[in-house]
Amino acid sequence: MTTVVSIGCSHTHGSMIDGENGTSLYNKENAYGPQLAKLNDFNFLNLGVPGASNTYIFRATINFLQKHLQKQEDYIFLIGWTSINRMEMRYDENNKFTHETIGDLIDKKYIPLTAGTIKGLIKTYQHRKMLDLSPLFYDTVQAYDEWAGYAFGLQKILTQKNIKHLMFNTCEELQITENNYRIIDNIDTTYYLHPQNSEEVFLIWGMNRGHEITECWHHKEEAHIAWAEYLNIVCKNLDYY
Amino acid sequence: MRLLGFGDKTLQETHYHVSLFFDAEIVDLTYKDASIQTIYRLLVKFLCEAYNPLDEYVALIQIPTTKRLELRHNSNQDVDFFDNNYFVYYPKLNDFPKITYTKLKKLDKAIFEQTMINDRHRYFIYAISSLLEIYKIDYMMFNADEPLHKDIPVPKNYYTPYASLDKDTAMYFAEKLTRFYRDHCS
Repeated sequence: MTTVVSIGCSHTHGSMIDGENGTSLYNKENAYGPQLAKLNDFNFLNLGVPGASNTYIFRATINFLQKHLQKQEDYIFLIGWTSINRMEMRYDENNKFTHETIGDLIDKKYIPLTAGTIKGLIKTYQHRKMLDLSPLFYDTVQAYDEWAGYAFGLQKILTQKNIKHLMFNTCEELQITENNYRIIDNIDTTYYLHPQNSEEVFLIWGMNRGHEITECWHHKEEAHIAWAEYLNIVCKNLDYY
Repeated sequence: MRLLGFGDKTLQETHYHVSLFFDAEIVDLTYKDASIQTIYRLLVKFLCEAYNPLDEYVALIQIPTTKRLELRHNSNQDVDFFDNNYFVYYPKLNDFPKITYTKLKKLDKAIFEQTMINDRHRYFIYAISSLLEIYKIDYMMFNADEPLHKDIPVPKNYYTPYASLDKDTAMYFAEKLTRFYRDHCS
């Protein structure tokens, strides 16, 4: 049996598909990853987390490879890279706090932090303070360097393990820095779709095709279905099934 | 043969002694007080910019303490292979690129939450060892300064005993590493 494993931020989670929630069971099960699975009668796991960073995507992918990969199972990984200026922290193991998100295989102790995170959602003083100091963690060059390094590494590892995969951007394009341009040259764009083209980012791609977005810049279900149909064609062209 | 040396700048002496055992030319990829992120960043850069499939390599990787976090501050430093605008933040750091970074001291408990930093080591060690294997580069990893946390799984090429290295101990430790490499890694 084939399982579609989608990993990314709110766009991968399916935020606002139900018209009102950042995270919900309906959203998780009707985002583009599950939609691709439904088109082909596959299983799906949606590891998309609202507010998640590219570091989360790197961590969650490796975590899956290390802890959840079943030898007999066939997988298609959909990796939807997100925007920069995001990070993650974690509540102390010894306290009761969690960050409530509905998703598969999520460690709810982790807290996704973005420039737009509402302070009220953060339960400890230290982590709220971190939001004030977040510019110290957000260097633009470092963010694009890390993103390119993560994509390069995961592509190599997934290819070596013969795991079918597709990467693409959901919020913004991967930009060149003085450090990462040779890394980007080494990324295989057969499996990472248009990494540097802003028009091919899921959000913009959908808008250019007339799909409405919500006030918080998320697509509704119809755009997820359209993106899944697009990915379905790409997967078939790659002889994934 | 070329010896790829990753880790702290302080490791250069150990790398030198190991290179003598291998009769190898050193490719110095040490950087300041390297964090695990630094090592991954420089490995990826090396593979994309300098790796030559016709060369024979062995990599020597010092896995640093978990309590280091790589950050970058644009201080108009050289953007060469290493990009000297990168620096490593850790609890005892005193030399900051900008005074505002001292404010992070109050957040050390959150920045270095134990499970999170163990996790970070786990996935970076996995990524580093996977990339080296994909590129068919023999390697060994070792601890320095402190033992690795028991929750972090390590590959078979991991030399567990640790040492706080100085000039006098570097040669002795290099011998031990070389013996370990011959028995377990090559």
